[in-house]
Amino acid sequence: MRLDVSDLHVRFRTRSGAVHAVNGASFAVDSGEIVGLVGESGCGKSVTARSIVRLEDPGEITGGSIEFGGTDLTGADDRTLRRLRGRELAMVFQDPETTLNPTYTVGEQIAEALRVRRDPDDQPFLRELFAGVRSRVGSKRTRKRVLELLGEVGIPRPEDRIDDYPHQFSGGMRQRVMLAIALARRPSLLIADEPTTALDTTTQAAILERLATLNDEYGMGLLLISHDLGVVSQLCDRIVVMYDGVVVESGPTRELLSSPAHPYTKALLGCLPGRSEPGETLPTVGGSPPDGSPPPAGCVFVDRCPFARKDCREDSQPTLNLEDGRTVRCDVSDAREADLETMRVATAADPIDGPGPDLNPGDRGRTAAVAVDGGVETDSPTDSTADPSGSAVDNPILELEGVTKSFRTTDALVDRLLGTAERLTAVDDVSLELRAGETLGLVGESGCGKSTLARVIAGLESPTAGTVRLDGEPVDDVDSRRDDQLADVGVVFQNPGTSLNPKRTVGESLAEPLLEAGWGERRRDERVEELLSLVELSPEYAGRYPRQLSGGQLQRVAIARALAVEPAVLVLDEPTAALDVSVQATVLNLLERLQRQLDLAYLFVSHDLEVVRHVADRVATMYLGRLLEVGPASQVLSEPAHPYTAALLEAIPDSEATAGGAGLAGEPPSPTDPPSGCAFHPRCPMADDDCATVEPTWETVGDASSRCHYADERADEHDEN
Amino acid sequence: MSIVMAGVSLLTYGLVFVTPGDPAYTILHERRGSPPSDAEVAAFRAEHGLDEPFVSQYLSWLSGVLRGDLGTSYFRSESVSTLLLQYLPNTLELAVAAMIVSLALAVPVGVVSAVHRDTWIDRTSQIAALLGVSMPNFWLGYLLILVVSLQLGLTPTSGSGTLSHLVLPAITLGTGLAAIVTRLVRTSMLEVLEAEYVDTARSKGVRERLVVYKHALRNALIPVVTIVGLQFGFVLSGAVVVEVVFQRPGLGTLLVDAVFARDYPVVQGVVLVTAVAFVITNQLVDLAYVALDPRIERGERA
Ligand code: SF4
Ligand code: SF4
Repeated sequence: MRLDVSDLHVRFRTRSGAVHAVNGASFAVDSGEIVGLVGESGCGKSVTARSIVRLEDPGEITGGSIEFGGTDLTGADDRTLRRLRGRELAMVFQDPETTLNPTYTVGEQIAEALRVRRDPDDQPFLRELFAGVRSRVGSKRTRKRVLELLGEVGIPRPEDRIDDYPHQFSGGMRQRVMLAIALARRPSLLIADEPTTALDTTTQAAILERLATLNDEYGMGLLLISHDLGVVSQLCDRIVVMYDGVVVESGPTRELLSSPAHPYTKALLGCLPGRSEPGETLPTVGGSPPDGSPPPAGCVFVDRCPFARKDCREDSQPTLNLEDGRTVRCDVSDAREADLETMRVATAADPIDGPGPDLNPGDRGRTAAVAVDGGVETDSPTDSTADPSGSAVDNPILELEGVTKSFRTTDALVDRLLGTAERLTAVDDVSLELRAGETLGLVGESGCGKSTLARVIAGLESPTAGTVRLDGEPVDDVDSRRDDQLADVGVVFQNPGTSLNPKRTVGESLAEPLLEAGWGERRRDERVEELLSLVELSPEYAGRYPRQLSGGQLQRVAIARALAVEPAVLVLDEPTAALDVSVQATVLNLLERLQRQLDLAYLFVSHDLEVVRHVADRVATMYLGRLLEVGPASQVLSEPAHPYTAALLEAIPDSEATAGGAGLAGEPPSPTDPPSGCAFHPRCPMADDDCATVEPTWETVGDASSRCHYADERADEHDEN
Repeated sequence: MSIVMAGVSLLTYGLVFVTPGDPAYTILHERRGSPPSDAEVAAFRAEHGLDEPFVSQYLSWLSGVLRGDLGTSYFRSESVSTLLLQYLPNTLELAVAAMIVSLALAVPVGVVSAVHRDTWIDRTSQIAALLGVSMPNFWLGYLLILVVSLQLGLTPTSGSGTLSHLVLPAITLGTGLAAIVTRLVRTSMLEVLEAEYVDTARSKGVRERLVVYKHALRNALIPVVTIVGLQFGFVLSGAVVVEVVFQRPGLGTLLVDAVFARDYPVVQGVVLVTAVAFVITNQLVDLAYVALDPRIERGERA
């Protein structure tokens, strides 16, 4: 069945006035088609998705129509909606932590969907209540079907899991359960709102692949909502780009990605770290993102567009049909025809890049210079690697030797006394070094221990065994570090919203580490101003509260705070994971500049290999608390010498990837009970009998080292290719 | 649990010990209708061990309790256990009936209130709940007797035994609690209705009524259960007043009489039973938790 959204308007009434979330969005999804709806946070894509299944509440649809299979959903009554939701139109939401009912077994939640599908109009109250009370799915027929569904979405051993509750599943498995609930209805259209955003790259690859198969096998249409162009381009036939509640461009995936017409699409593509040379300054989108105020009469992108003309603001932009089935909402032909490269120059050099709300005027000259330098010249990647080569003769600023950190899994007194508590080894025998001016990327799936390692380095945990050396001197946790040692390491966490105290102004938050280090008031104030200008924020920001800042600005403050006492090492734990791509680009550029300016060493923890490829000089891969491969980024991320690194790379969603690599089967085993031999063997495609018994040692392959028996063979394979 | 019980017993024993008034004197006076002589008082004390020091009195009482002997009433010359067994069922009956009344009122009203948030339904029920909380038990009791029993002649005014004896006291006692629980259910429900899984259920095509009662309510009840459990104490203390108003024989009336008569063994017995009841309800609350919330590991809280 075909979905046709035309001129949809949705708004929210809030105490501070109406928020216009969707301002006339139009697009269609043909039956059996996969369409991607992309845009950054706040562009109205999720609200659009929810409106289609009519779960827009507390928003209200104020105009337009949503036609599905000939029915206008905006005016449909409850009964029609129930039938459509029960049989034709399914939705999967973003966060699998909250979308399953914690009090019912997954089997029951899937069975319920089956029962509703069988007869949407007959849902006996007592039967349903009773079905919920039982802890296993009753009817044999339904149970069999539920088991099939669980198998279909890739849950291993369905018979053992069907009567489990959601909290007993991992995030990826829960999302599969959500998928099973959706599939139980054999819908003709599945709407998936950021279905993999909360998941690991490897899990994401598996789920996306599952979606593609389902589309293939059942001819199920799919509307995939995502902020991640990589995900969308891998899977979709067509892409719809949304900005400020309006569709600005749409078209077939290949055409749209290779020659985007709308300046916003160009900017969005340009921001992707994967599209720039490593180390190069990323093009950014200037100006601030839309804020839900009523849309301008003319083009919605006008405030941030480098090609904007005078009439762009007043004249409503027509939707133009381009030859290859694309539509674009921009009437300026220069803008449409500009290629990505010119766009880059335009964004980098154009003052539009500057007067974003977060730029300190005094700092403008320098930033612009950096931007031009990075945007136009392409040989800058060597900058960060060539530069520290002078200092590379120095001793490493940070050294880890055999660092191990384990936790008890229970705190029960008895277990503690008897020593029967299981121990979870989060970090296992890790040795690394980090030099000034260098960035070490630390990658791995969630739960692999990378964050624990970051905490050990920052002194927030003390290692169970092994030594951490700062500047050659062994250190323990924060309590026992000297002031200058404390000052040496700064930390930036993923979520600036929670790491900054909401009741303190930015200035107070920045002054706090200075106060602890015993700085006087005058010096503190000067330093706060200096710090703000370092991260390109104007001095007024000192008086603002965190809630008045955007995500990107908050992360800048967090970085400034980490830099307060002039550290030599910065531990960055997923610093851009919570940010939109365009904001991510500005933050990555900032980090790059700071590193060059202050000769900082970065430990950059991330699950996003594209980002790591962009920023890192060296890369370390971590799995179940161990390092599996360490080496120069250029080598490790192009010719991995370890099957695990290879699998991680394969899982990156990308338009260029050849027909979806199968990625990794299953999930990492529990760290309380790591497999014998090579920790990776249960999931390794190359594993043989030796791997299960003999733990591999470090092998040197080129400039990298890898912990795999067959590292050399992998290297040979690369050579042949 | 046994620690709690020991604490409670010591405390009540101590409290009774330090309250002014000499039980021997009061009781003998009552029995004979005239002030007793010093010799008689002394004899009474010796008989009941009242002249011994506090610790040994307590210990002998405690060892009695452990053997299942709660002592004998000074006043009625019956064993305390017999009295308790005789009165306890009445009070339990009242407490349980009141709980049922309050839950039967509070849960639907709370749910409807939350579902129709900020409409006249919601506002009416909120006002009713406010009235329910602020109205004293005895006042409501007398009001009900006046209207239902005396004017309409539907129920007996006092006594116990049949269902019609139970109706008014249960309503009297239940409404106060109902008001509290209604508000709780409403707040908890409002929170749960915002949850994503409620939208998941809707997106499946589940009927709204089932979305509310199957998917939302069960989650909303989890926090309510704790409070209801804690409110059991409120019900018991309310029972004392209500039993007096309706002249129902029960632990309440027993306690009040015993306090006035300085019948210490009875007072201690009643308090002990109440404490046991508290501990038992706590266990029941834990069980209800496990039933409602699968995230709590079975057996973990035992
Ligand atoms: S050139 Fe004009 S119409 Fe086109 S995107 Fe820019 S501002 Fe909008
Ligand atoms: S040692 Fe064996 S199991 Fe481990 S990564 Fe190498 S091939 Fe795979």
